[in-house]
Amino acid sequence: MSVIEVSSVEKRYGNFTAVSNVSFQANPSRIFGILGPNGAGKTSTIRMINNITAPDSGSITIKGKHVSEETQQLIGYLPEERGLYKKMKVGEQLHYLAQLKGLSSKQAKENVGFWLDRFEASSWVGKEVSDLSKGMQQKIQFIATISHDPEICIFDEPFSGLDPINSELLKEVILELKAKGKTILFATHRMEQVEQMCDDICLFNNGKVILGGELSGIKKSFGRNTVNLEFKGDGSFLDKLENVRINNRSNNFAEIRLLDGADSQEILKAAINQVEVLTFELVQPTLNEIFISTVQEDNKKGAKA
Amino acid sequence: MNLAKLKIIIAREFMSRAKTKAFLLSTILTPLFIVAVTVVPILITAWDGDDEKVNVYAVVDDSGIFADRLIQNYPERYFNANDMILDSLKKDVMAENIAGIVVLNQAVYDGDVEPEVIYTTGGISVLGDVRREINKVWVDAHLEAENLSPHLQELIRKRIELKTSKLTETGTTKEENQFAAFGLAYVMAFTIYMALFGYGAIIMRSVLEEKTSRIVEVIISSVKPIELMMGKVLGVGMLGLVQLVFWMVLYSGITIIAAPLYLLILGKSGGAMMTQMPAEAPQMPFVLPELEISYIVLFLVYYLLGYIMYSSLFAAVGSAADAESDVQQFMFPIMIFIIIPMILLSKVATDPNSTFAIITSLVPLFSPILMVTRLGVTAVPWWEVGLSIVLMVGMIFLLLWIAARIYRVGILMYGKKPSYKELAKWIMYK
Repeated sequence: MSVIEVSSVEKRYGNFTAVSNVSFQANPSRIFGILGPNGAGKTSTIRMINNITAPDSGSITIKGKHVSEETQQLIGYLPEERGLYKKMKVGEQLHYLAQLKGLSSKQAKENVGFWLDRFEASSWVGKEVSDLSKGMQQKIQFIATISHDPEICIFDEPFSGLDPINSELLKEVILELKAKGKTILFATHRMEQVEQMCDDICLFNNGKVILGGELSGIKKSFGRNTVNLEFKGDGSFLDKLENVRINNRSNNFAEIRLLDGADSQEILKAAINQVEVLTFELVQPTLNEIFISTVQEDNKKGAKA
Repeated sequence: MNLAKLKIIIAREFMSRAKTKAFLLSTILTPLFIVAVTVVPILITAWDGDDEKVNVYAVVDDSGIFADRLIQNYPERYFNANDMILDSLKKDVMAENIAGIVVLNQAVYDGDVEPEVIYTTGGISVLGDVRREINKVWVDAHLEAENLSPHLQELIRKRIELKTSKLTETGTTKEENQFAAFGLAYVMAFTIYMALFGYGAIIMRSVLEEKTSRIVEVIISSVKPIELMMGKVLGVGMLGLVQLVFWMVLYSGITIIAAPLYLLILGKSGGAMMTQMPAEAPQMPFVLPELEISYIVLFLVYYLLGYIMYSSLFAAVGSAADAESDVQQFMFPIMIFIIIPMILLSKVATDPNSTFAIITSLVPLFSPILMVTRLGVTAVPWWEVGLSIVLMVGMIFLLLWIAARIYRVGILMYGKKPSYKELAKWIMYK
């Protein structure tokens, strides 16, 4: 049995359907990526898992129990829109938030102390949040999310606003949490992070899950339908190619996705005619490419229907 | 409702404010401010003309009836100026060598013309004294001319004072100054009015701040929205309670030391004033009525119930808005319900047992102000107090229900300002 089971969940706001027939499972020691364009229903779904809002139909269970106040204690949630009490001291604030997650005052103090050390932030204890830089506030917010040692961590865009050094630290901690057997939900727009970290993904569009499963499996299913072309010379021939989509184009590189009927050998010919080809490689599409093409196809279907 | 978590929230809402300088200052400065705007002007009036200023009047009296009597009765105020030239006296007045000239004659004695006082500066209170003193010697002169016995003269001079007693529930009568009770009732009603607005605004701002700073989503992933809302309402309510109790204690302390302190400050001049003034003047220029324990308790009960009614509405307003500039539209209907009883206040206070007063003071949203007013000026039957409390508690359940339902949706809604129709929809959401 999965730790988080979302089955056939619907959520409507008035006439607007935010989430429609969504199902997925997330398991321990794995990082589950929730992807999708803005307004696709990611945050609505995450809020329901957090028992902030309730689904109109369908069910969500955490370790086999329906979401409730009790299951809230098992979750640490980092919302996309960050927020802390500006005029409250860092130490008091973390202590307060940990207690609201059900920790005793003493336990809360211990855990907060541990994580402040881990993030080299112990000296900020007496400072008001408004006196901290944005990056520091991010760290404090992250500590607030995990200080009660939750079995489930839900991170919505955890890396936004962090410099590379702190991003690396955060990534390290998230992978540590995974190694400890936590179930991690990770919502983001940044595909390279998903590719680096996620084991499973589900892709949302217009309130529905349009793609889901193990990341490696999904990539395999798309086959080697992408050409990585490195060249020297005038790249204008790229504009004349048909049935392709070109990503990551620069003066001497193009990532070319083959669409229906496009032939990689035709592209190679066209390239040789005009430029000096340095590399020509057929590869699996990047997650970025999968994201874009799947969402666009789904939108086309929606427009036809 | 998870009581352990509610307690944690209440404690934070209370402590985070109680520790601020703003709270400390407002707790201490508010009574000082009230003292400054009420007591100080009275003290200044009482002092007026006592020192520095010349307080001597020249009496020009060609009838010979008034001058001697005035000078004999009030030697420090009047001197005889019959043989002096009016023009030079006027110069003295302009130079402030003397305070003024009192012009009297036979026609004044006969009652055909009014006595004339020529002066440049001087307070109403001094002129009032002059009028009273001329009046006294005028009456004296007439009474003597009528050759009445001293006993009859005394009867005629006698002024009736009212000794008021209020009948209370327990049947005992207690001597009380009705005007003071009236004043107190006003002050208490006004205090509730200020508290409803003041603490309500704190709640509203705090909800709005949690929403705009987005911490609210973190908190409601740990507790139910209603727990956060109630924790805030109760925490700030306790803060208000602490403030009010402190002020009550302070006031009670002042009523005990006020009279001795007054005499100490004004010393001899105050004493002299008392002997000069006839019976109509009170011992002190102001009287501080005592606060009965039962009144304090009821006052606090009405404050608390009224506060919960209104603050839950303010919380709903804060949750529906995105910025402080948005709240005006939603504040308006709430403000009306706080202001209406203030408009009815004087009518209820002057006729506290009328059907009008009884009915309006039973309306739950008006009770906190109007019942406190009535309790201050009359003995309100216990069943009316009980009924109003029951009605308010019922109202609290209704308003809390509505407010909580708006709140739980509002705190997660950003962007467009909702219309009243949308608010109604929020209430109906599952």
